[in-house]
Amino acid sequence: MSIEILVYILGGLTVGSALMVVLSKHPIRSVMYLILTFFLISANYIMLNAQFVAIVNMMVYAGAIMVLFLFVLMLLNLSKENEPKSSLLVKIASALAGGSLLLVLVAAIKDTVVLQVAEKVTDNASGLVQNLGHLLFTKYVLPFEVSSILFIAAIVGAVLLAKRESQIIE
Amino acid sequence: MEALIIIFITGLISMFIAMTKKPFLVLITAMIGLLTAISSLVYQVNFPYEWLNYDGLKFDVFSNMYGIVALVFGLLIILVGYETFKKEPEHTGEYISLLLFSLCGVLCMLAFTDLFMFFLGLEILSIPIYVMAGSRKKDLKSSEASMKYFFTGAFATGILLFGIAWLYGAVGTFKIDEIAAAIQNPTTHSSLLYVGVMLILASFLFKVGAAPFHFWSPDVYGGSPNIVTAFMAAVVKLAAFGAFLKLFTVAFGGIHDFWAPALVILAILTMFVGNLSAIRQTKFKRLIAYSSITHVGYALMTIISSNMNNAFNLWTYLLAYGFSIIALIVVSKIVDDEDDELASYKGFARKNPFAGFVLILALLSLAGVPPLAGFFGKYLVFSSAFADYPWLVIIALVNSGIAIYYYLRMISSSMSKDDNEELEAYKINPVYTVVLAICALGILAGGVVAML
Amino acid sequence: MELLIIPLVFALIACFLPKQSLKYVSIAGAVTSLVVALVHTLAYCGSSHYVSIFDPNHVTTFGLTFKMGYDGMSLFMVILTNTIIPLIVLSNFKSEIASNKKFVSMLFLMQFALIGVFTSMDGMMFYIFWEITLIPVFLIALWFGAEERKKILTKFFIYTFVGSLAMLLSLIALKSTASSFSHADLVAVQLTSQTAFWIMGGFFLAFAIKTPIFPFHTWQPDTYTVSPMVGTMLLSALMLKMALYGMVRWMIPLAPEAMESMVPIVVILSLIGIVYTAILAIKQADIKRIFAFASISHVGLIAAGIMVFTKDSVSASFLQMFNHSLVAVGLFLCAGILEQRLKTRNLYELGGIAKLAPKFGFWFAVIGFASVSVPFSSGFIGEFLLLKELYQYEWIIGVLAGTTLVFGAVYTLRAYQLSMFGAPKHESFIDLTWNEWIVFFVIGMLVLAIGLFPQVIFDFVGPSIDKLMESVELSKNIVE
Repeated sequence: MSIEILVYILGGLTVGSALMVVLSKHPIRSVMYLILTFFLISANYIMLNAQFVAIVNMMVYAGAIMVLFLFVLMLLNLSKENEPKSSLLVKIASALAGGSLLLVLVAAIKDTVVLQVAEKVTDNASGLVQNLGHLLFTKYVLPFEVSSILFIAAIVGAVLLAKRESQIIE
Repeated sequence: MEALIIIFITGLISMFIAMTKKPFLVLITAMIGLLTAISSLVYQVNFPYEWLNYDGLKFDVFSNMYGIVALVFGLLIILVGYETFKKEPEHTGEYISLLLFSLCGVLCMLAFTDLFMFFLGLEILSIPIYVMAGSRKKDLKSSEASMKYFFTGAFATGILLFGIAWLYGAVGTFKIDEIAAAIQNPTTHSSLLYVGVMLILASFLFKVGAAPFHFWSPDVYGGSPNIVTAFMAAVVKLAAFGAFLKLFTVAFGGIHDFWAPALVILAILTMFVGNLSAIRQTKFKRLIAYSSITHVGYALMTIISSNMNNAFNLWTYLLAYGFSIIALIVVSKIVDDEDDELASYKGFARKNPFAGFVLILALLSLAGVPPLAGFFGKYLVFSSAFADYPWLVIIALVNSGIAIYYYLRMISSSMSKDDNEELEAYKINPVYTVVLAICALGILAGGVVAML
Repeated sequence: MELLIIPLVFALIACFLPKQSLKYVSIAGAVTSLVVALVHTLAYCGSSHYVSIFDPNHVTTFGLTFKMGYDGMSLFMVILTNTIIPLIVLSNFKSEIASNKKFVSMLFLMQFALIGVFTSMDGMMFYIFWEITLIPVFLIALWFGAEERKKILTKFFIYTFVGSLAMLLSLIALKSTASSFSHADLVAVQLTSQTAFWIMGGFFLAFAIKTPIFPFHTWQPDTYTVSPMVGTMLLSALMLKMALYGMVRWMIPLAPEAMESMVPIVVILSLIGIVYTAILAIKQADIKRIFAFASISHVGLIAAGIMVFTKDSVSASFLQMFNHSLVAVGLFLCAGILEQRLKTRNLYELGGIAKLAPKFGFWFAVIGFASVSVPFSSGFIGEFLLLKELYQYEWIIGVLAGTTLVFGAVYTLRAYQLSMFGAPKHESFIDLTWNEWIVFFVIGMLVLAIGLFPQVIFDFVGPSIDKLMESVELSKNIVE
């Protein structure tokens, strides 16, 4: 019973803080709310028995990526006047579109019977590093190796885009 | 599987060879690697063997045929692009290796049996192209194209993952044959499944650029460097459609009646939007973008219909389409107009007879005039859809008629002998001539090949 | 097979030959094709069986067989094509485009595609060759035509192409229940009369645009005036005949169940076309437009005759097709001579040419009379038979169509009078050159010969028409 209340509270807080990321006026505040969201998502992961993913989430997202975000924000020096204003029509159209999607998704979830797969996972240790690693190198070795192509492509791409040209751009 | 490994290793080696500062060596490496991969795929089609085989990828006839075409297109595009890449010798290796990595993603996307590999393939395909679209750093439009492509692509990926999550919630597995088996069982038909399939469908339509998810397409095609436009139009479409077909006919075939009507309406919308917007275009690459939106509309008809030969029909159609696009892009590189206006193609065919001939062939093939490959592709697609949805075929034929207008306008403007006689013949690189000849051969012979 | 290969070979080698020899090569090619066709004709004379010229007995995955062959009707059309092409080449001999390699290769490509249309026994091959014929005509008109040609030619191409798409739709619809595309298999498909109506409608749209039949004729006068003389001859003498042949070979046998519903529509539309365009022709000032409208008027009669579909009317239609082609070449040559010498086609600026160029005046009169269908010309037999059949179909239609005889005389004689008689408005006029004289002579002789001995043609196409009508009756009776 208490677990369920905890899940609901966590979920509500996560959604709330994600909303605040979008709604808050000051960019640094958005970043702070985003970091809070990542923490809450890690908490969700722990509730789902995925401890490794939770730790990695915090390290990678809240650690590395958010620090980069903050650096870029400081360099960009955003302020309220620089925000692009969209017309009323665009706002209404986007509200309608997003709202209908929300409606469809909520209506879909409301009536479903959740598949009874969740009962199979009984071992509390299944989220730990050792088991995860074991799976990654036996059952899911192909995606694991193929994702290395993705990493190399991303690294090369990032270097290509960000490298300063050798001659002066006139 | 071997082709995938060969291309990946080629990509790595070409990056390192680029350190020698000789772009030609990089090109040679890429060519050798691609030719080896193509021959391994061809060998595998004719003499099927299983040497390296893993759980998530299965290189059957379907993926091999589509893969051969994608690799051939990649080869032609890298050949054509070499002229531009050569001008920045320190970046040549990066450009070529990014294209090669993207081709790895194509092979993953075509051969998947597991939604993991499909997702990975999609990302490996798209991320290098996001980068390449912005590779002309001095051009503002190029950065804009890259940003727009990246944002919509990332959004599409997000929706895809959302859909996969819902799908997993409904059927409990990622493998497509197990999904198909689970869908046979009507108890899994909950709204979780339907919403998941719809979200995956939406993400696909984003990726191929069907209406109403097509708004990124003209800006991205128009702003990217020409080579990247060719790659996007020919290879990315091929991969996306191949994966689309595989996923939807194998995995979701059981609930065909659920998603097919939506696709029918979207196909009609796509055809009309593409055609009607293309009529008013004055820029060449944007015209290519809108005409490729229309072609996406036609190709969607193969996914809608439940014909046995759909894979072959789609293959022929995309083969014809790809060759025409590559020929058009080569012509645009010959003309090399900064502002990309259609008017700079006026009189092209008079001064450059061979290139003009191939240009006219490519435009006629896109329009669907026999006996070129484009006609056979269109015919196969239309006749496969006729049994289920005759009205759709009628609308598609009407759209073919509308499309003739702007293709014809381009053909007659390229042959006009207006007063500006100072038009001198362009000095065409022999590489371009070779690629144009290959494309012409493909357009002329593709129809014959399809007939046999 | 050599019927097809020879024009194709000439089309290809014309791209590589030097300019001076091109004229003679084109004559050689045209005459060679004619000789080959004559050989086939003489070998075939009188029989009614089907001769297959190419049948690799291989059906592709989507039903395309490669059957090509001819029977009496097809061979007749092939002879027609191979006779007209040398006449076209000769009449164009002295102009500057005759040595243009693009023109020569397009001309032979057109001949190749036309023979392909007439000898295909497979629906998809028919469609492919049909589409291929569009390209040479469009390109010749685009390269060598008059100033304001681009918009008009674009309209022509789109209009015709959309019609062909309708035909493609009908073919796809038929193929979905047939086992292959070959003529025999498509004929064997049994249809309800509702489906048959739409299928025949698809074919009819394509053929009606090409012929043209009212109300799909609006592209024709402009396109004829804007094309060069050769282009107009190709359009009116040859491309049009494809549509009429298509009606006999493809439209009617494939969907005979729709005949009762379609025949009145087609006949009435043709009739309106005949009368309306004849009236329009009377008021024109541009001589090429007069002949363009005259062409629509005459062809409307042929189309109506084909749809009535009795033995006499179909034979007369074939005869009249031959006549119309010859006369069209002659008339457009006259217009071309006037345009080339005097740089104008306006009737009101012409006058008194007959005094300056008596030979031209004589032959223009001969061709004019042939077009009006005076007795002893081939047109007489053809028109009379067609009018008789129309009269028997429905007497009022026959009577109204008969007014074409009167109107035809009016506009032809008006054109002749305004240009040939009266006070001369020009100082000099070069009389006929040798090539033009030969063309007129041949046309005149052929018109006279057929006029005196029409039975030759009737015997030639007659047995095949019998066979066709039998098979149509048979397949009509099978369905409910």
